[in-house]
This record gives sequence, structure tokens and C-alpha cells, in this order.
Amino acid sequence: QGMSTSFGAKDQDTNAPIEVTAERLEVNDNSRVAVFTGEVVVTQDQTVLHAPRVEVTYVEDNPDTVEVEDGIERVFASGGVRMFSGDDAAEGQTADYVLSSEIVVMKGDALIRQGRNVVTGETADINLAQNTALMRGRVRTIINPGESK
Amino acid sequence: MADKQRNTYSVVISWVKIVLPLVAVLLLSSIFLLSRRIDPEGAIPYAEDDIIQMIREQRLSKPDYQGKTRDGGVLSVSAEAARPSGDGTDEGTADDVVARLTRPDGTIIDLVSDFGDLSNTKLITFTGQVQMNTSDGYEITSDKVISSMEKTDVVSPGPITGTGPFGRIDAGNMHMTIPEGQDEMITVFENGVHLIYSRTDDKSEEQN
Repeated sequence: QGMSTSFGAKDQDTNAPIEVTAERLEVNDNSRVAVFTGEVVVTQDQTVLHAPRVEVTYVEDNPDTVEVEDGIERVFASGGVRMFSGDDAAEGQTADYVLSSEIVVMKGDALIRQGRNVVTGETADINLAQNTALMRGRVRTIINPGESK
Repeated sequence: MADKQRNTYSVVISWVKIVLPLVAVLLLSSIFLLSRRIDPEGAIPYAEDDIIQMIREQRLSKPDYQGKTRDGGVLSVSAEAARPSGDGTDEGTADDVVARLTRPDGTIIDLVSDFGDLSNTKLITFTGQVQMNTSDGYEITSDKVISSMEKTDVVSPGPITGTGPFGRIDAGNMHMTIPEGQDEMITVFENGVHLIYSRTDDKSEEQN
């Protein structure tokens, strides 16, 4: 059960380049993990994600296939994540974005702010391609008629 | 009469017999007395400077250094010409240095630079358009890289730019090392990191 709302910029291009800025980056080549720490900002087209720590896992290059599979397989942000897409905002303790699924799963008192409406719950599955967000776990909606953030 | 007309010829001859030997003696003596003072010491310093120059410069063309690092890697360094610096300090500089560190697990770090400072037995300092390529996909340029000769420890104190397995990267500095007690190499970029990964080139073609 859950409540789904629309979320995010309509024309989010999930194939767009991903840009990451941070203070520090540590890469362990064997385990294909890169850990960004220190005011990490991950930007893809119209979606921006802010977090103190972001772990990026790269695609395992399959030796048998001819062409080189490279690229980012998964982005995992933790330590209090804020995500902005279009003019909507989402917050949560952690955000897990498996690129192939095009869904960002935010966990830990997730909150979605759309204009004046706020929806909170335990987890939020934000589908960037279809601009929907499915909120689950003790979902509460706060519709503020007057005040706009 | 005859004696009056003393035969001028014989008079001339008698004078010549006296004058000519005197002149000869004078000429001979001038060779030894007036000749340039040949200073035996003088000749040697010129040769000595040249020898010292050669020793100090030790022009090693293509000096090859190959050594094992403590963690089992093999480091080989080759330079166009290596010269200890002229002013006596043993800080030696080399031109277009090429170094390759082969790690026990097979990954290779290649470093190429215009200049290399090989004097310190523990470190090599690469300067001047340093290009670093590693077998796991890093192609990084910096203007100064310091590599330890004893273990895998490559540092670029200054800004780097280039590409990695994850995409284009620019960072304030870079440190590639094996942390104590671990055997996996990690690369740390600090002082501001900016990475751009664009997937458009390969993936999107397959999709549409």
C-alpha cells in the first residue's frame, strides 16, 4: 500500500551525463567502488542530489563480451540526502539509485515536497523517468492550503 | 803593395768567421732563455677540470634502474640522460623520464615526464607535463608527481586532470597507495573533486 504522487521534472533525461562534485574521492579499483565525501553534489540533467557521502559502484567489465562495459551501475547516498528535481524536493536518510532501474529509493523518514504539499513516509520510490513517487510506510500527507515554501 | 792591398776578401772572411758563430750562439741561447715559460702545472688543471666534469656529470645515457619495491612490485626507470646537478649537491636531474611500476597483482602504472629527479634514493620526482597511465584505466596529467621507489605510493601534490574508469576527473591532488595492512590499491583525490561521467557515447546508441 502506499501513495503515489507525481514528482520531478517532466523531461528528466536519465541518460544524461552524471556530474559529481565533492571534497574527497576514494576509489578502490578492485572492488569498483568510489566513495565521495564532503558536500557531495550529484547532478543529472534536472535532478540534483546533495549528501555528505555518496558511494558509486561501477559496472563490472564483463571480460567475455567484446565491448567494454563501463560506467556507473549504482549510486548510494547516505547521511541525510536531499534531492531536487524540477521544482519538487525529496529528503531521506539514504538514497539508492540503481541506474538501470531509473528509480531512486529513499529510505529513513522520507519526505516529498511538491509546491505546498508535503508527503512523508518510511520509504519513497522516485521514478525519474515517469516522474512518479511511491511513498510507503506510515504515509502522511500534509496539504498546506495557504503557506508556500 | 800586396800587403797594402790587404785582400778585403780575407778580411771579410775573418770577421765573418767571428761574427757568425757568435750570432749562432746567441740564437741557440735565445731558444732556451727567452722561450715561453712552459708551466707544467698549467697543462694539468685543464685536463683535471675536464675529468672532474666528466665524473660529476656521469653522462649515463639511458640509465636503467630496476628495483623491487617492498610490496613485491617491480619499478623500472629509464631516462634520456641523467646528470647529477652541477652545483655539487647530489640532486640529479634527468630528461624525459619513463618509469613503470608493475604491481604484484599485475596492474601497471606508467609515468612519463619531461624531467625527473632521481637523486633521492627513496623517491623519484617527475616534473614537466607528467602523464600517468594505469592498466585499470586512469589517464591523468599533472605537473608534478612524486613516486616512492620502495613501495606503491604515487602522489600528485598539485591539481590533476584526466580520465578514470569512471569518467573525466579533475581534482586538487591525488594519492595512489596501498594502505597499511591491506593489499588493495586505493586512489584518493582530495581538495575538491569534479567528475563527469557521460554515458551517452556507448549506451544510448544501443538503445535507439
